[in-house]
Amino acid sequence: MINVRDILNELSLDALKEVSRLKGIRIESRKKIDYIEELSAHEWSENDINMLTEIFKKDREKSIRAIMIYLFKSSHLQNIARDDIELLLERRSADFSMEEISGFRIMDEEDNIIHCEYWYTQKKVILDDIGKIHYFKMPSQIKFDINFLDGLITIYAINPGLSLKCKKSIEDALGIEMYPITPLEVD
Amino acid sequence: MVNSSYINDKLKEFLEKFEEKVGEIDEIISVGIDVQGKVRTLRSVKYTGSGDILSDPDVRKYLKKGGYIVGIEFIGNWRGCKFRFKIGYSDKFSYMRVSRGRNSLELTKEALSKLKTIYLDVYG
Repeated sequence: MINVRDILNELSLDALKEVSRLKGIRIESRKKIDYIEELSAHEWSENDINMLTEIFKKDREKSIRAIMIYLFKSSHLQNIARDDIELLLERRSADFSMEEISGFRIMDEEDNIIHCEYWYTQKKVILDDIGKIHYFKMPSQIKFDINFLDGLITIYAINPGLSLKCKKSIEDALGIEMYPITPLEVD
Repeated sequence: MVNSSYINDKLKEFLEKFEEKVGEIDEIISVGIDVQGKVRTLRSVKYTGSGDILSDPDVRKYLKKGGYIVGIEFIGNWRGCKFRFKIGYSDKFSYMRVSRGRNSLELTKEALSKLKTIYLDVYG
C-alpha cells in the first residue's frame, strides 16, 4: 500500500504546487508542510497516485546534480538473436500489481540498441521530526541499454550496489555473463 | 597485484585522449589507487585524495575483501562549459560520473556520452 504522505514528503515545493494544481486544490502558502498537510487529507484514487508517481519521477530528474553510468560487456550477447533478447526480457516483465516488483520493461529501440528499464521496489526509511520511523516503499527503475552488436551493456545506476543488482538480473534473464569494461584483469 | 606503472600509463592515456577529443582539462582533483584496501600514491599524475567512491558501503565491503579500485576526478571543458568528471574501475565494475554544476541536464548527458566514448577508446 502506497503511503501518499510519504511520497508528498519527498517532493519539492514546485512539485507540490503542481500536484495541488492537478488535483484542483487551491493552497495559499509558501511552506511545504502546508501543502503536505492539505494534500494528504484528501482522497487519492489510483489515477491520482499514478499522476503523483509521474511528478515524483520528474521532480527527481530535475534535482539530479550528477549522472553516472556503469559499463559491462558480454561476448555471449552476439550469439543471441535480437528477437530472443527481447523475448527473454519480456518473460521477466515487471508486474506492477505486485507489492515487491522485480522485472524489466523494454522502452524503445534504435539501430543496434535496445533501451530498457529494470524495475524494483525501493525501500526507504524516514525518520520524522519526533523521531518516529516510517517505512516507505516505492517502485523505482534503473535504465539500461543493450547494444547487441558489440555486446556493450550500459547501466544508468546511482551507485555500485544498484548497478550490480541490475547486472545480476540481466544475467539471470538472458542466461549470460557480463564483465566490467576495465583495463584491469578480470578473474 | 596490479602494476602501478601500468595503471599510471592507462590513466595518462585516458587524460591525453580526453584533451585531444573533448576539451582542455583545467584541474585534476584526485587520483586514488587502492590495492587490497591500501591507498597508494601516483605522484606522477598528482594525488590529493582517494575520491568519494570510497564512501560507498558496497565499495568499502569490496575493498575489505581484498578488492582494489582506480579512480580519477578532474575538471574538464565540454562545449564551452566546465564539468567535473570522474571515472573509476576495478575488476568488479567500471563507472563514469559527470557533475552538472550549473549546466543543463541535457548538456551533462552529452558530456557523459562523450566521456563514455573516450573510455571505450582507451579501455574497451
